[in-house]
Amino acid sequence: MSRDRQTLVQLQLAAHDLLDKLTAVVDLVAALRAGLLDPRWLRRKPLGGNLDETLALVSMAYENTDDFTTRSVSCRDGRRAVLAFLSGTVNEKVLDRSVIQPLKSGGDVQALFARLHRAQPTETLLTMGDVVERIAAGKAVFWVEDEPRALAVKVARFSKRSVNRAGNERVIRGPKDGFTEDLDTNISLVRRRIRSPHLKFVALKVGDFSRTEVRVAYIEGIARASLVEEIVRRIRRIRIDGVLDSAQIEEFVEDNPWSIFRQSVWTERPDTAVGGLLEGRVAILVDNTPTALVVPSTFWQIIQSAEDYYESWFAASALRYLRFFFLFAALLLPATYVAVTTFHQSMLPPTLLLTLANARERVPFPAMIEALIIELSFEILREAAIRVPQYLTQAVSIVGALVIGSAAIQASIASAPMVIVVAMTGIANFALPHFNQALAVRVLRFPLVVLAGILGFYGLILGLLVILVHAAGLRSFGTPFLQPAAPLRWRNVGDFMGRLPWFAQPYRTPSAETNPVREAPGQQPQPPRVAP
Amino acid sequence: MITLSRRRRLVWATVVATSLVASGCWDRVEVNDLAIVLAAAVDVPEEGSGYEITVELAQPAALNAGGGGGLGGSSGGMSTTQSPGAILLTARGASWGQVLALLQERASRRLEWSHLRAIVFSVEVARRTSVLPLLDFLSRFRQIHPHVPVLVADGRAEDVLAATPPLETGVGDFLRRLTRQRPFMRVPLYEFFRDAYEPGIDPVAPLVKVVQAAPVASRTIPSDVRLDGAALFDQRGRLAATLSDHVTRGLLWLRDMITQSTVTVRLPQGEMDLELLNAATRLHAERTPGGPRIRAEFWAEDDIVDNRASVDLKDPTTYAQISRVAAEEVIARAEEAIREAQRAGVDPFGFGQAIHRDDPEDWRTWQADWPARMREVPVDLTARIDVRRTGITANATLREGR
Repeated sequence: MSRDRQTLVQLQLAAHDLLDKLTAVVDLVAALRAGLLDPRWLRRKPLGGNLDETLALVSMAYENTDDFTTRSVSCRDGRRAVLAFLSGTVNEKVLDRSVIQPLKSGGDVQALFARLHRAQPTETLLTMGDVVERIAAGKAVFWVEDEPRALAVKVARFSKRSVNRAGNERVIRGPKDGFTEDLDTNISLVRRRIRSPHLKFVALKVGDFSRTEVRVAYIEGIARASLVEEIVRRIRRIRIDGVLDSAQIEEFVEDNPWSIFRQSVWTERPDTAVGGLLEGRVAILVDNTPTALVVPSTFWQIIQSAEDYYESWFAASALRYLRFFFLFAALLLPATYVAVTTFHQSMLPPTLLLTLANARERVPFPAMIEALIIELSFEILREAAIRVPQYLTQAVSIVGALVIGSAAIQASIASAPMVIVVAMTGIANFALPHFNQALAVRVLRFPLVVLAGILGFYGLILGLLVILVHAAGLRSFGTPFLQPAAPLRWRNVGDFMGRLPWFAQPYRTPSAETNPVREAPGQQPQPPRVAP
Repeated sequence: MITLSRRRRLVWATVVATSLVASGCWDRVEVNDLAIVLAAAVDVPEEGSGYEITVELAQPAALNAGGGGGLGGSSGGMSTTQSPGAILLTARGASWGQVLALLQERASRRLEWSHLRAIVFSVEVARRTSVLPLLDFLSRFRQIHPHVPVLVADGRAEDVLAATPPLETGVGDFLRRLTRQRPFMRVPLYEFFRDAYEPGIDPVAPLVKVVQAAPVASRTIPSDVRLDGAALFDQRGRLAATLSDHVTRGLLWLRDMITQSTVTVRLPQGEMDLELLNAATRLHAERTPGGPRIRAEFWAEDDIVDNRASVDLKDPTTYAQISRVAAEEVIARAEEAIREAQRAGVDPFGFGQAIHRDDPEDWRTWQADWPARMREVPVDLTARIDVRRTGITANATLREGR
């Protein structure tokens, strides 16, 4: 069947080449409409210099496209030229000044092409398919009678917002700017931090319809070349209709897409992304996405915040240990509470046991069910708080505080210690700097509560072991997910649980194997021998 | 990564899920399904044999009954008529194991012994039978913690549990806190076990009694528990003697258990009180032709808390005098305790162990009839008391002006 179809197509192509030379334009369009011609042929068709034919074919491609605009211009030498663009995406003033006026006044078209090419980012197009696509990408394309090529001029005017503060990764000290939806802006935000020819952006396009621009950013000489190659290869492999956010790309390129843990980190902070680049990581920037994906990532980035590098190393280290504790609290606190109160009461101090027994005296549910009820209501509130119209957030929090915090306890549906435990767990979860990993922790605590309720500490440890084994087996673009803890990399421990001062941690992450040392040795400042 | 076929994965997931759900929560016990035993008292019944065991159970629901219910109302009311947070339960049986089953039969919740705070034996149990069978049970029972303090009640042990001490919500809690105070004599269960099963030392336990407190400023405290000396046991776990509170101090010195006490020193000029800060005792055995001799060395650091004798504390020679008299006082107390123990033929001080340590050969021949030999073993006592400080003044200002 397919072979028959192929030969048919070939026959058609041959026929159309013939047709092309013989028939009138109108017939060609009619043939395309009637389905006699394969659209692929159109894509590959070279521009013949027949102005009307090109115009008719392009217009057909943009049928029912209200913002498709064409302008006819008479050149000085008498030849006609046609300018085609999508009106919303092109800055018409600039277009008029830089293209239409030179066309009207300019003499030699060859010279005009060359001049435009020098003054503007332009592209010379040779096929119909290119013409159609460049117009969709927001460029103005024009072609001149008897010229077998077209010129695409970049006079794009997509709406974009200005660079704002990074709203979700706030810091007290340190740069405040955040990525926007505009790829060019994002590139410039990265570029202004690394003014070196070694900063590279590999340009890729993903999405059959969206044709979304993707840039793979890395620093040549730091990032492993094979890593960059691998990432580019994986992105090239993607076949999808459209990309709305880099999250889609993320799921297409991860090593273990079925894992609950994400093996890449997103950031809306250019400094974090650049920090990753300098460590030998690779950033994936996607048009229309106000975040950069930084890969490879490790699990421990969940406790690392941008601010750690801007504040005192001592305080930053202490905070990281604190966040490490939060991590365990967010994962284990409700499960531990359930296990201890239903299986291991003898572990509790007597007074605490009596307090808990008193609080639970009239609660009708087992501790596990109680925990799940409170957890669920907390999650409901948390979700509602995101969706609710901004003016109602206060109302939601009041209802939440009253219903869960107070009424549920008074009605003996739940006990006060359980509410405390769940609230602490929730808050601890919010305190984790990386939202995508924190989400995994948020979900994982539910199975752990169930395990703790069924098997006690035995179940809890069992669940933890499963998580640990799974996480230890994960890889992010070839880098072990639990590095530098497992496998242990002593030289990188300085920036793991704590953060040593810059002069004391000269090594990049293991993904930068070719160039692991980032700074000259012996830079610890010292008081001068002689008073200055 | 282990790769399984989709079908196998499904089978595994089903097996894990069903085994988790189907196994249920068999061993699950909610906190409010527990009857928490706070204290246990062992008596001998008035007629018949066996034991009568009374337990104090926590009643968590009653804890905030006085607080008017609702949120945060755990005021744990201090009622003067009865301990509000606890109830008593009694059962009689031939052994602790039997009684345990009977108690459980009567309690609507599972008895939880892991939070037991005190075990009280009546002096009659130790006098009529032995405590060793009870100890055998306790040493096997995994729920009871070996740090639980052991007490002996002068009178019926259940009366101790029925007492309504001030400040605390229940007797168990009260006894635990009481035995934690430094001047109190604290004998944890493991120490009692150790002394009972090791040769060369005999167990002791603090003796407590219930007192009907006198009304103080129109407020009456119906009953209270006080330390009233020590009970000495022999090797078979029977009561051998009881020491008065006064003589017990000597026992504590010799067992190296004294940590905080006040010593009254009688100087020619009058009396003064010293506070003991730090103390240590060493027992040695010396080999002599007539058999082993025990040498006990006491050392203590004291502060002066009270100078009723009005001696001049700025004069260094005064301190030597105070030390000497204080040392004599300590030795006198210890001698009294030794005398009483030797009369009863028990060794609560561990003299036998000292011989075993320092003179193992003699111990081999002496061990068999140690209780008899204990009655005659000579003991040398020496004491060194270092008087350190005088409080925040040397001589009170009043006296300086004189």
